[in-house]
Order: sequence, then C-alpha cells, then structure tokens
Amino acid sequence: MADSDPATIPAPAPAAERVPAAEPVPAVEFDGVTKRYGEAVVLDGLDLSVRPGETVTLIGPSGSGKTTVLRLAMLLDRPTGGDIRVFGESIVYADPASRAPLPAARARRQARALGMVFQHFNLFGHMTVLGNLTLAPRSVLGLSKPDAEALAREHLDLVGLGAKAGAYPGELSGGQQQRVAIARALALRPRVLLLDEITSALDPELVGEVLDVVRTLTTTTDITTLIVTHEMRFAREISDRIVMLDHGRVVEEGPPATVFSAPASPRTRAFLHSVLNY
Amino acid sequence: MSWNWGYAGQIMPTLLRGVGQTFLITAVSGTIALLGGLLIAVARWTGPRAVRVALRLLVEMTRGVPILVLLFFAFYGLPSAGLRPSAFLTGVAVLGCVYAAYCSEVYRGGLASVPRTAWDAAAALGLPTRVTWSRVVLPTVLRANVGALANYIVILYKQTALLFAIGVPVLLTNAQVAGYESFRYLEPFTLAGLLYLLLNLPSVWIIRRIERRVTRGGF
Amino acid sequence: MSTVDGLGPYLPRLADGLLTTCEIAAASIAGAAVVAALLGVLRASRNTPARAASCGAVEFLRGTSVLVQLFWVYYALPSIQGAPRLPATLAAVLVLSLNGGAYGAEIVRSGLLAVPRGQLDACHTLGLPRRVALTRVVLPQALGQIVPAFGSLAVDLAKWTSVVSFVSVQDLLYWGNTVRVATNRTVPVYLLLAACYLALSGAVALVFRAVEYALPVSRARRRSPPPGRSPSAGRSRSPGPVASRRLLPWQGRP
Repeated sequence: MADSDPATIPAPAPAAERVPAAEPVPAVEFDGVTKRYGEAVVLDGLDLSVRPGETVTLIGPSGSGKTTVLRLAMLLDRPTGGDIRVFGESIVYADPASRAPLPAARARRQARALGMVFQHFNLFGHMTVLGNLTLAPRSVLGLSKPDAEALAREHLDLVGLGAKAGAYPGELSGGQQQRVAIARALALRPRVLLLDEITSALDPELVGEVLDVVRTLTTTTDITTLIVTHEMRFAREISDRIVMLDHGRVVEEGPPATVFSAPASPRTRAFLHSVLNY
Repeated sequence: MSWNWGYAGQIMPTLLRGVGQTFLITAVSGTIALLGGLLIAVARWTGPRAVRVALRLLVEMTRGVPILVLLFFAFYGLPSAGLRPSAFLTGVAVLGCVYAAYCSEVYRGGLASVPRTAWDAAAALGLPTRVTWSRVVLPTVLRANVGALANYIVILYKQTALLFAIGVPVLLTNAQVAGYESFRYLEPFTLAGLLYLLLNLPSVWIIRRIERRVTRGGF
Repeated sequence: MSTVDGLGPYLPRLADGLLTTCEIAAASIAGAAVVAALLGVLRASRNTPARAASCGAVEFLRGTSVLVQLFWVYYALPSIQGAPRLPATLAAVLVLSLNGGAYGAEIVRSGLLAVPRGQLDACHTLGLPRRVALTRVVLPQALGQIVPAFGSLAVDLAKWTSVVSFVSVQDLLYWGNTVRVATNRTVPVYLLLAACYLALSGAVALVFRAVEYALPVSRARRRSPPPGRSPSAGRSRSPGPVASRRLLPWQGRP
C-alpha cells in the first residue's frame, strides 16, 4: 500500500528525468500574495514557487513573514490579496478572475495535498499516540479501524516510535512528540509537507533526532517540503533552495551554497551574520 | 388579566421601601462577610491545629447546607436557646456568616498564592508580624482577589430575597405582601424582578472595571 | 441520637421529602447541563448575533435569584393571558435549570476557549470536519476544566432546590418545616435536615469527581509524568537517531 503513495515512492529517477525539459506545474505557488493584520503588513506582494519534489527553506529575521507563508498555504489563514495555487489550482478563489472565494469544503479537499507540522507539536493530549494517528485517516479517508491502525503503525515505525503507539503524548519527550506529529502528518499521504520551526521548542539535545527524520524523508522520498527553521547548518545541508524573506518580500533566493557562502543581498549578509556569529 | 399601570404605581412605594431594606441588609451582612471571612482565613492560616480543624469543618458544613435551612434553624432555634433577636438581625447574621465562609475560601486561596519570597523578604527586613500582615500580605491578597470578593457580595445581594422566608421586609417580601393583599401577583413580582435586575446592572459594570484595574496592576 | 427518637413517626415523610429533593436536584442538574452547553457553545461562537443573544440571556438569568424567578414563573406568569400555569415541580425544575445553565454557560465557554488554538490548527491541517474537531478534539479536552467547575455548580443547585418548598413542593425542607411545627423540636429537625443536605452535597460532588476521573484527559494526565520531569524521563527512553535511521525501511537503503 505504501508503494502507491506519492509521498513515499522511492525517487530512483535518473538525472535526465529529474530535470524535465518543460517546467512542471509548481507544487506550491504564491502569486503576489499580500497579508495584512490591521495596519501591519506581514506579506507584501510575495512571489514564491516550489517545484514538486523540491526542498525549500525559508529564512529571515523574525517578523519577516515566514510562518505566515506556511499558514496561508495550509489555509489556516486567508491572504488579503494575491493568489495561492497548489499543483496549479487556486486554494483561495473558485474563480480567480471574479475573485469568488473557494467554498470551504472544496478548499479543505485542496488542502489535503498538504500536511503541516508545528513548532509546538499540537498533538491531541487526551488521545494515545495511536489515537492521534488514526483520527484523521478514519474520519477523513474513511478507513476502517484495523486499516487505520495498520497505517498508523507503519508511519510510527518510519519515525522510530513503533513501540510508543499506546503512550500518551505527555509521556514522551519533546523530540518524540515532534516525531509523532510528523508521522501524524505523513499518515494522510500529503504531497507537500510544511514544517514550521519544528525544532524551536525542543531542548538542544533533542533537536538531532527530529532533524534526522526530516533529513531521511527529504533525501529518500520525492515529497515536497517547505521548511521554516533557524537551524542554518541543517538548512544548508538538506535544502535544494534557500529563500530569504524580509518585510514580507523575497530578498534573495538560490542554492544553499550560494546564499550561505556568497549572499548577494546586504540584508541576507546582515541576517546570516547575526544568526551565525551571535 | 393584563398589566394594570395604576396598580403598579400604587405598589411602587412599598417595593421601593423593600429596596431600601435590601441594600441595608446587603451592606451590613456584606461587611460581616468580608471581615469575618478574613478573620476565618487568618485564623486558619496562623491558628493552632484545633482551631484550624474546627474552622475548616464549620466552613465546609456551612457551604454544604442550604441557606434556607440555616435561616430557619437560627430563626426558630435561637429562641429555644433563650435568645430573641429580631428577624432582621437573624437574617443579617445568617447571610453574613454564610458568605463569610465563602469569602474565607477566597482569602485562603489568596494567602496560598502569596509567593514565598514575599514572606522571606519581610523576614529579612526584620518586619514585625503585624506589619508583615498589614502592609505586605493582606494588600497583595486583597488586590488579587477583589474581583472574586465583589462577586460574592453581588450574589449576597441577590440572595437577600431568601429573607422573605422569615418575614424580613426585603423587596421580594414586600412584593409578595402587596400581591397577597390584592390577589394580583403579575405587577408586584414582575416589578420586583425588574428592580432586582436593574439595581444589579451597575455591579456588573463595577466588577468589570475593578478586574480590569487589578489586572493592569493599577490602584 | 435520642433527640431524633421523637421524630420517629415522621421519618417516612422526611424520607419522601429527601427523595423529592434528590429527584428535583437530578433533573435540575441535567437540565442545567443542557442549557449550559447550548448557551456556552453560542457564547464561544464567532457568530455575533448568537453570541449577543446568549450573553443577554445569561446576564438576564444571573441578574436575579432563583427564588425571585420561581415566584414570577409560578405566581405572576399564569396571570398573563395565554401563558401556561405550570405545576410547581415543573416550574421549579425549569427555573433551576435555566438559572444553573446561565452560570454553567460561563464555565462551558471558558472551558472551550481554554483549549489551545494550536489544537484547532492541527485539526484543520488534518482536514478534520468541524464537527469531528469539536466532538473528538476540543470538547474532550475542554471537559477536563468544565466537569470539576460544573460539579461545584451542581452542588449549589442541589442546595438551591430548597426554595421549591415555597411553592408547596413537598421536598425535604417542606417536610422539615411541617415536622417542626408538629413536634416543636426545632434543633433536632434542622440538624437532621442539615445532615441530609450535607450528604446530598457530598454525593453530588462525589459523582462529579468520578466523572472527572473517567475523562480521557484525566487518564492521559495520570499516565504522564508531572511537567518539568518529562524531558529527561523521555530522553532516557528515547530510541533517538538510531531508530530514525530505519526510516522508510522498504526504500532499500542501508
């Protein structure tokens, strides 16, 4: 069953196929997106495109709008202006021309292509780990209880927590909880995974185990990942592309080696200087 | 039967006299509740073990029994002990004691949340016990709980209606008497309900203001 | 106990009264729970008219005491043309349910709002329908705060039932007063009454303690170490990076 999963299909593609002649439909595309909260402009006409299978990391000072990008893509919030497309289809408008909003049910179906992991895990504390992983497969995918449990156990094994199915989140360490959260998101077979500062709330010694899971995921599968993180070394290691945001706009983007070693923008330079040499 | 404005106007003076009594009783028994509650809480905090246990038992029992039962107990029981207080006095004392028990729990919670460091700081400065309590501990407790205490006074105000049971001429009693005399209950009870409601409205506003002020750390 | 002896012939009546009190208390607590759930959910909702209506109802009901409302429903309401003349017991249960529900609404509202926002975000990202999110995620966690608070409200309701004796419902207090008049033994009668009400209050509190114990959140809390200890306790048991190297085993990677 897992073999049919787009998220977990191996990526054996030879180099020739990995760079197709025509540009494929972007997995996630921000088209002039603006987000305002009252007076505050969080995103200011943001353009961003993530190709299928790509791992893109958003960096930038706090308040630059990184988390907002993920929340808008996940439909946790609506943009003030502009359009967001997931695999070519708008998740904001039913008809971009007339700007008629997308009905909630259709928007939810669109958003199924996406999964998200949060800084504070947001596990359901009153349910066991298994309950956390089976709730959505049962009520959203309509799986039977045994099927949902099999799916859940399989994904718990992926993150190395197969033995913790019966535990409550409160019994686990922060790192284990975050791995459960990743498994919970993966169990719905998303094609795009959004990771929002997933190590920021962890004790330093627990960061590694979570990053290991993400590293293996991005290097062994063709899942698309959009990451917000402050772990610069990790970002440099696993990203195909780094996008530097400041004041709700893309300041600079490019391969990690270029952005980290020879940033073109002075603002990127200042930011990297402040986070790497504090 | 429909609303009779003439009759409503006719009974209004009686009802307003009841309002006066209601406020008087609220003020007196509210004072008993606030001071008595503080006394109970401090005694439970500092007193010897026997006192603490006895007070705890008393508070728990008071909170587990309807006010009406206590009211009847006092009203009919005290004369058999040789005491003959007026209904007014009995009612005020019972309401005051019951809400003193409730308020004492508020004070106790407040005392428990005074940080250890405040006691330590007072001790380090060599403050006498009396000064520690009056200048450090109690102001902290009062400031943190003024909202909860005010809430109990508002409930006390509404519960004064229970004194109808022993014939104290509070608003509800006067409404009932007026209705009984003319066999018309619509106007007296409706007006009484509206008066209770209207006179209660400012308190909602005041409590909200107090709480906002306290959370802001003002005063 | 010899003081109670003289009351012997009246004990069956008092027992009847106690039973009536228990029945009214049970019905009122159940009714208050329903009213509280309705008003509380409306109060926590994002729909402004619904919220305003619920706020108004709550302030109105909390503005006066149970006794005043009971007298109005029982004595004044029937004189309005077309209004029903409710039987005393029904009027009492109605008033107690509405009044208790108004206090309970605030408990429900703050319980719902105390569930962290992130839980709803997580439901949303998992694509859970609103109904599932509310019933399976938000409500079970809110109950951890709602049940204990509603328990003390239920104890209050059990005591408030004593006002029904004023509309000649033959509850415990009604029979107590009757027996006092008949025997003129004030102290033993009211001591017995106080003991009965204390037992009732205790029983109600105990029931809600049991419900609280059985809640999923309580079970989770019992199993989890107290906060502060969890990271180190978890770390020692953590399989760590070794296990995560087994990620996606069927991918055929070493």
